[in-house]
Amino acid sequence: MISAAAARTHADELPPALRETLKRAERLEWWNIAWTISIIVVMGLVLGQSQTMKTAWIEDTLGLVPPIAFLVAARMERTGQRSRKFPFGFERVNGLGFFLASIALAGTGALLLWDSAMTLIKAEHATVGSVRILGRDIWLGWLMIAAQVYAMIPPMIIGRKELPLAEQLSDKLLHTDALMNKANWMTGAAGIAGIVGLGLGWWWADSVAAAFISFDILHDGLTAIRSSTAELVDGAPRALASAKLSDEAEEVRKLLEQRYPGATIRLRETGRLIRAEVHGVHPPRDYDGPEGHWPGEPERNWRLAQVSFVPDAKDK
Amino acid sequence: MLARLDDDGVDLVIAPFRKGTLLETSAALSPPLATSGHGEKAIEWRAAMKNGENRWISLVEASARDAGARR
Repeated sequence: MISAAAARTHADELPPALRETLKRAERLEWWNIAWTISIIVVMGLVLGQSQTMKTAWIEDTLGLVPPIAFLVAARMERTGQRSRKFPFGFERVNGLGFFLASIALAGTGALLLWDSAMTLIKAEHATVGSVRILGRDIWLGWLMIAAQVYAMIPPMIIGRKELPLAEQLSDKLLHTDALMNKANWMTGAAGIAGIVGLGLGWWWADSVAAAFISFDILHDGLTAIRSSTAELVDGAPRALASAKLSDEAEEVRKLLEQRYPGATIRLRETGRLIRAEVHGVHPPRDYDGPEGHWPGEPERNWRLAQVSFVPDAKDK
Repeated sequence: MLARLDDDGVDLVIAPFRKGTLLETSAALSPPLATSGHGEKAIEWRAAMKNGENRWISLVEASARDAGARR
């Protein structure tokens, strides 16, 4: 039998405004999936023999991983109740999704780098022929450019809309999806440069452009992997956009060190929440809950979900 | 003759190809100029060109479509 308090979901404990932000992010991700599927179909129709276009198509398909992971995690946060099998609920599903999304992002960068390097090494001359539409012969490159322009616009808009939501929610999975969208539109730009280059007879143009962009994507992916694995192994909370320590968590640590001198402070992150352990001291008589230990703006105090005290064994 | 496409010695080879021939990845093939036989055993006469010569390929493709349409 689970008590009413235990049956609450993780999302129930978030402020109402934040729950609304979470729903907005979910709606945006549904749009993201719909647009990405349409891009996969359009790109698939004009692939031709171009290896760069095939790579861009695979990347667009990989772009489905972060939004799907986000929607699964958000749904479990909203509806997954604590149970005997999952007594801590499902707030860490977001961290697991962040790990999967970071793998997809790094994979996208690695794939692009591999493809462009192999094309340059083998000196492959991509063939872009023509098709006859309504009695006119049209160079397939024009259709590829049109498809790439179409493939660039939704990720550019959706990625920009995701960033403020990711900051409000402290959601690294959503932030990684914004990076994935950036990777997709940058790959599209490289693809256009490549097709124009092919038209001018520069067979190497698209590979060189793609190789430059792949370093940026790979760097973002590897940073996200470092940050997500840190979360999975209970490392200290990391910043939203880098593997450096989170400023908010560092402020919490400083406040706890000031308030409990001599104590050992351990912080970790579970999804979007920070949890603190204060080792070596008893809880104060006037303990005012985690929110009383939040040093920043009050509207962000939901981030600190727990402050636990672990006295030394001899003091117990 | 097909091997010489890569050596810049030959610009175009017109030859019979079986449908779905693997050569399609190592050389650019035009649309069929003519077809003999039916089904899987059909033989298609196509122009083969060096990969990457895109303007030349587009020109030959357009001519091949015109030739195929006249037959």
